[in-house]
Amino acid sequence: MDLYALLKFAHIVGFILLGAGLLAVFLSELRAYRTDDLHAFAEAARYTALFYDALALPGALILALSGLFLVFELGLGFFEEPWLVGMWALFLFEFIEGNTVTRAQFQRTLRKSVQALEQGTLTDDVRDDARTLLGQITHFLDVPLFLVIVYCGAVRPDSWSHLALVTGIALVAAFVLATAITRLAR
Amino acid sequence: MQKVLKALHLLGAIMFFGSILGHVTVGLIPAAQDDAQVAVVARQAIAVATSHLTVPGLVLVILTGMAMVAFGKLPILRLRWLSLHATIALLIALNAAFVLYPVGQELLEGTSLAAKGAMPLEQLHSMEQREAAFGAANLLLCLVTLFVAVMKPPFGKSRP
Repeated sequence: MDLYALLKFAHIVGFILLGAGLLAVFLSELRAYRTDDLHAFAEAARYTALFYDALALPGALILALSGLFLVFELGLGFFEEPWLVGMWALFLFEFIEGNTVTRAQFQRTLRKSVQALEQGTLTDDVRDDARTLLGQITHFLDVPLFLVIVYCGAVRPDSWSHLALVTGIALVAAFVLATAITRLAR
Repeated sequence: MQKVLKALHLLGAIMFFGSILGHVTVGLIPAAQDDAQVAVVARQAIAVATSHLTVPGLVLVILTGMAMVAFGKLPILRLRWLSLHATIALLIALNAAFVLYPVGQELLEGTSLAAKGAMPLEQLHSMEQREAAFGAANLLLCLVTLFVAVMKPPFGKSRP
């Protein structure tokens, strides 16, 4: 059986798992922003933590391993192709950010949400305390940057300006999402 | 054009297939099967994912798949891997539209009633088993059709 095709299959499965995790977390957090129900607010935090650990993390590991072997199998350098640099650099950024800032953020959110559930009150202060500004920024970066990685893998932009353009669009989209959802969802 | 369609096709697959994995993951929530309050929140989460990811993802993956065949002038009847890929995709869509979606709606209504104390949660177990069986079948079909699309097995000599 063709090794390249098997690695590609694993890579796409990794994309599906990681995408599933990030999109599920996005919806789960959206529910937390929109709900007035304390029980749903606390459950959303639990779902976010579960989706990260059960979907996003295994997906990221499969994606990283299969991607590394694909680079060697295809004999591509790490720095020659703009689309490949876009894929691994954005992935590395998301992986490190996801396992440091975002992980600390969702653990804090879970802790604060459980405390709120025990106290039986859901105020604006409780909401703000559960999600820090840095955590919100990194959270809203996740999906747009993931979409750029998918775009780089499928479309394979062959110039640095093309890569810079799509990354710039993703950053603007993340800013718009962060501004709109945090202000309008309630 | 084909590359952009491919990117959108992949995005549709991520949304559809990924949301099914999300539904499975929701089942891992402790007490989601036994506690009506927990179960109704889980069912609401699945309903939100269905309307925001599963259905749009399915529509996107089908439309972009058809567009790739049309614009790429791919001989769908002669390429046997593509015929199989499309046939399995059709089965997945039919299973999702006529079995899984209606069962999901019924389970949402049932758990809502159970959370209000109007119905015992145990009454929903047979429906949950049906959802688990057909959902597992869809997951397996998704993996097979993805495998076929990536490996493109020749399946012997194609028809002239």
